[in-house]
Amino acid sequence: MYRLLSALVFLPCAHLAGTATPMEEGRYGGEIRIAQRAEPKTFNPVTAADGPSREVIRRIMGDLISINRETHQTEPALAEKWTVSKDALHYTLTLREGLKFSDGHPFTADDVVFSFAVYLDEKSGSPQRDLLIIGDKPIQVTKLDVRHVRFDMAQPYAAAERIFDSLAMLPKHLLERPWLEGRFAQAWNPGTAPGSIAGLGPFRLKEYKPGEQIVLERNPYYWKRDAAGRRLPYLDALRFIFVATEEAQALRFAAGDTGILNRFSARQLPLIAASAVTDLGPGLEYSFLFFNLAPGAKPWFANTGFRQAISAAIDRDAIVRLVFGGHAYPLSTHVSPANRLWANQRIPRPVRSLVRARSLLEQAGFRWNAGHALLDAQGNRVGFSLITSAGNEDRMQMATMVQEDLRQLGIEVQITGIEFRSLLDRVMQTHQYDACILSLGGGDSDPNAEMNVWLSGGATHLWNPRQKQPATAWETEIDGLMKRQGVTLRYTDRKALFDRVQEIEAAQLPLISLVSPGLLVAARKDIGNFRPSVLDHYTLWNAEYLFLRGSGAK
Amino acid sequence: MTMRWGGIVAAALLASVCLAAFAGPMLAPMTGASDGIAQDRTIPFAPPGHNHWLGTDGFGRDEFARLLRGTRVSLAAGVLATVIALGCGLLLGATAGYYGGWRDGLIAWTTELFLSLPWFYLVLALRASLPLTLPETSTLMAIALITGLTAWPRPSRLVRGIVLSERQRDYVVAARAFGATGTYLIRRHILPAVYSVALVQAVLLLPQFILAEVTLSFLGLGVGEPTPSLGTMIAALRDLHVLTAYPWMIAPAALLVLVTACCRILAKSLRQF
Repeated sequence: MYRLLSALVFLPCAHLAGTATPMEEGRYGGEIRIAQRAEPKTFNPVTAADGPSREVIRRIMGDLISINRETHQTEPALAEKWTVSKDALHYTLTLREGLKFSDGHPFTADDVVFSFAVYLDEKSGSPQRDLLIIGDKPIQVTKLDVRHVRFDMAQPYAAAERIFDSLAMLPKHLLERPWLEGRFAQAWNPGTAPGSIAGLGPFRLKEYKPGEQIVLERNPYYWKRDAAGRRLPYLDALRFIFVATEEAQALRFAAGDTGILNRFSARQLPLIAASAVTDLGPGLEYSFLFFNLAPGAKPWFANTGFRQAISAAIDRDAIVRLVFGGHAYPLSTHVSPANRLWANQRIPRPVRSLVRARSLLEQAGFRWNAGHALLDAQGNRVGFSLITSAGNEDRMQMATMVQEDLRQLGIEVQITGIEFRSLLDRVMQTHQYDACILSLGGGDSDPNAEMNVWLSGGATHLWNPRQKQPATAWETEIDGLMKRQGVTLRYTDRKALFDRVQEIEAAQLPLISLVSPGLLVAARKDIGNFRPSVLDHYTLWNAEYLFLRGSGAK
Repeated sequence: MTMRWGGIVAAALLASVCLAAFAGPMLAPMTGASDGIAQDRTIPFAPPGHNHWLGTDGFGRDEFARLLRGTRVSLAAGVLATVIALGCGLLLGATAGYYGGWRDGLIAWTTELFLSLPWFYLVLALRASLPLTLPETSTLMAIALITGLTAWPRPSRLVRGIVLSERQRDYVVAARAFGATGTYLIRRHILPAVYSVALVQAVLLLPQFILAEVTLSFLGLGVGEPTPSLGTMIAALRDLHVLTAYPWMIAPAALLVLVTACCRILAKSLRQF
């Protein structure tokens, strides 16, 4: 469950517009301290599904082809070049010469083959595995020689070489044995000695003090060099310190205790100097309300008119203003305005209208009693419970506003905040809930990244997961459209297919999209090459280029 | 000021708070947003004024009306839980102390078991297992029941000790010699000796249970929106900006401190009395 959810944020971004600006030549030395909410659960890049683990792992591991978070285009990483066959079924990658892991061991095509074998092994429990199954068949990986590897796919893959981004290459010499012995999932746990962990990223693990900090030091074998030919990274170290709350993180940043504040909510703005803040505008994350459409749920929820009425009654502008202090964007569908190449511009901006909501309810057979309470056709009072994660203040506040909006329609909503794991369990497994507010997205703008959400058989098809056959005609149509766009190579054709998906979504409203929170990040003024991106990880994606301008290395 | 006078002032303040909370609807200003439920999204965090005596919260809800409602909810949960805990404590403590033997052993064992439980996590788990669609009153009752039933061991131990010594007294022995039944002896001769201790316990337990309700609501696991409780209102203060920029939002926290302090002073005063 968590693996599948996390898979949504693993895949790289697709074709957003952007131009590359050369990185500034920096100075060597110093370290940057960054606050992290929680401790990593693992250093194993294959099994890591939680944000804190991935944030650390991304700094110590390397991938074959990367998405430049600034341009949103692919660029060579461990593979210096690649070719694609005319039928788009075969990719041949050429590895750079002389690559070494952070322990000095050479990196070869054997490591690539080994890495993909592990990712594709069901027993490894990798959240990325689903992404490597194309046309119901796993990608075939063949070593051609020590520097060349061929990837064969059963069908053309629309997102093309982007599939290689964020797939960390593993050291066969360190991980083959645990894999063969069936204990791969336990490998590289937080108790593993730093010296036993090696990667191809700009940093390597130096020290992990539970409850305190993780220190990453410069990888002396890192392959990337700056424009002057000097080996990166510039920084001596990155220090992740554990600070449990966003507010405490903001306070420590304001006090100069940390150098970068990675994504924070608008309510922290008064604590932080305006000159340090970068407002990136809308991100790819979207918050939404959805009803339980699984068999056995309340019959109103399956009524399209009812869902349309709920959507029409919600005051998204007020949510933007009161919950996000103006730093959010109202949504008609799950595609955020930040996703300019994939958003269907023909779908109108959501406008609140209680008149329309009442009309829709009347057309759907609902009526009101003398006390203005909404009744269904059988005379039952309409009301439902609305769950959301108790620890998430934004979602709790959105729920409170939705409750008030629907009270004006005569619908009684009971809000229950529950712990996040219990919430996921109710939504994905037991289906014991009526309605829920959640957020998704953040890692990718390509439609393929949310295949699990939109395919009726997907584990994260939240409103009615893992259907054997699509329950409705519109889900059947979405299934077909999503599968087709997944193997269609021309952007305009894919866009037309995905536009239709959004039109169905806007009409049927399986997810009632609410808002896309704005992205706010902050950094000390003396940090060079700070180029935050709307894609996760927002601030450290170019950690190898970050440097300190002054002598005040912290 | 002597302790006696301190107790009187504390009792008077507590009585005033209770009166204000339970007569809330009459005291709240009669304005559009005076029920503390309806949102006026045009005036979030409005400062105190003629229409809103204690200002408004982030949704433009009248803070004074919410404070009155919230205090009523928290007090009701606290009083109910106190009655449950003391009721169980009296019953089980008196039974164990008077009858002794296997009953005493069983109750002592159960007491030990309950004392060793991490009650806070137990309360969280029990609360999370409740149905999602509980009406407000049922939620309140459930919270009171859960917190009350996890807190009876201490009063029970205290009562047991008193009953143990009381049952040896001459007038109890004499009554027993005249054929008085156990139930009669407990009710007429032994429990009256326990009442003063029980009263002090009640005053000590009340703020504990109010705090338990506040904690659950603070964590979003108590009474749900839009019904206010002191906990849900205090939760807004987690945002440092709210705490510093809108000082009227501190009112529920100040009231909680006042109620807790009054209970402590009153309990100390009652002990000396």
